[in-house]
Amino acid sequence: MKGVRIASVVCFAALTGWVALSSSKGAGLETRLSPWVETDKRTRAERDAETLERRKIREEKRHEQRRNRDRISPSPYSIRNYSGRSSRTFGRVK
Amino acid sequence: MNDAASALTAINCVTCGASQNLLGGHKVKSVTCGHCGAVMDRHNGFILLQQYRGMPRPDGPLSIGMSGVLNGVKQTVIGIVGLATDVDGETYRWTDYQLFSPTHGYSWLTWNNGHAVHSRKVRGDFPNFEGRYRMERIDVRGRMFRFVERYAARTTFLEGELTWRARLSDRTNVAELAAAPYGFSASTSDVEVEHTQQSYISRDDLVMAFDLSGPLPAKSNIHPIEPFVAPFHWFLAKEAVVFAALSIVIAIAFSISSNGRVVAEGFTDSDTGLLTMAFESPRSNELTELSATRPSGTANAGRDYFNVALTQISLGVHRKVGLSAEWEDYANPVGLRLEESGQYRVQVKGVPSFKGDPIPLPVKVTVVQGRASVIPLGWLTMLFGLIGFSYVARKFLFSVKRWKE
Repeated sequence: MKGVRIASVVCFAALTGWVALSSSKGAGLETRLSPWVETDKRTRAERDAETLERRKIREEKRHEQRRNRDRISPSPYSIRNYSGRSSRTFGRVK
Repeated sequence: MNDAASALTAINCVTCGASQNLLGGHKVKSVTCGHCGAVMDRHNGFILLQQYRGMPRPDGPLSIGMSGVLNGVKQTVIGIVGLATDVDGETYRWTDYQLFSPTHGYSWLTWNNGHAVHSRKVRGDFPNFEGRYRMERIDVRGRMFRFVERYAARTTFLEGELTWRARLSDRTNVAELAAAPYGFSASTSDVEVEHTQQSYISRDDLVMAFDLSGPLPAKSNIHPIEPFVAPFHWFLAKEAVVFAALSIVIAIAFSISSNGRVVAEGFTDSDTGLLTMAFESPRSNELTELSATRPSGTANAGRDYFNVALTQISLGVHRKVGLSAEWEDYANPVGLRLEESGQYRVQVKGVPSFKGDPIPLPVKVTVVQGRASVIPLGWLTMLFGLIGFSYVARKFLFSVKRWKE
């Protein structure tokens, strides 16, 4: 039991020492809330390259969406409605 | 009792012939055979008084003839009495061991649900315990007790030497008081009122005193006079309080002395709202605080915003922080931990809150390093405080549980 008691005192002392050391270095004063702190460690060239890449992906996605929209739900005024006639009058009895 | 009778060390039971050791002194009045239940008169030639066959033997770790040192006095078990009481249709049982010491006389050891209590008869004037309510405080010889309970005990088992002519029909009304680890009781029978003072015997002490082998039956409740014993927890709590005090002292020292050093300071431009400053961070993982303060006398009814960019010059690493200056001439500092040492550049630019608003008035921007914090020490103090408080809470809950039962 004596050994356990000594160990507990040593643990308490070590914990106090470690916390005091951390406190002396200002632990806990860091601003943690986003967007107050925003870290960006890239170089300018890396940032530019990534911006270009993002822009290219965005363009490609927009083209894809446009193609899909025309194929699935063609506009009645579109010349590519695959019916050969206006969909507004398709199937109606005149 | 004549000299020859008092010199006897053993007899044979007058009914079954079983050997009965006589270990008690001259105050023993009856001897009960453990085999056939014959009760013999010790002072009248061991004549048969009663016989009780088939008595249920009570639980307990001791037997007649065992010796041990209790409270510094060597005692020998000379008799056993099984007792019971009925409360609300439930029967509670316990065992009384009659102890004898040639130097200190007679006493009792009570075994009750895994608890051991040593009792000794006391004489004198004591308060009346009639009509007392539970937990009522009663002063007995300068010690403050609390009234526990009153019950009627009946005898269920007899064996060995006892200091009265024992009968199974014996009924006793008992009033009990507690001031852990001590107790006091008043037992009222048909012929007398007997007062006893009690002390709680820990299980370890009992095992050591009577050299018992094997584990004792587990305790099933908290005894009214059982003390709260948690030596390691008590030690931890004391140490925790000491370290909590130490943490507070360190925190006070830090809050007084460690305001840090100003590594850069300047005002934003009144026309462009721009400020650029460079500073050196001497160590890695250095906490750097940026704050904006409006010079006194320049009032602003709104909220100003500043874009702050921090750049590590040597590596071209950018860290951007947002900083808002409140209308109360105060901005919460922005704390950054600069991972690497070296040259840094801080750029502050005041921006209008809304489109068309003017650029904010100049503010003083300060960069401070080497500040100490009391926040972790505050948490540590709370942790140590909790450890200390846990002992108090545990003791309180123990007490609550004791009086609930």
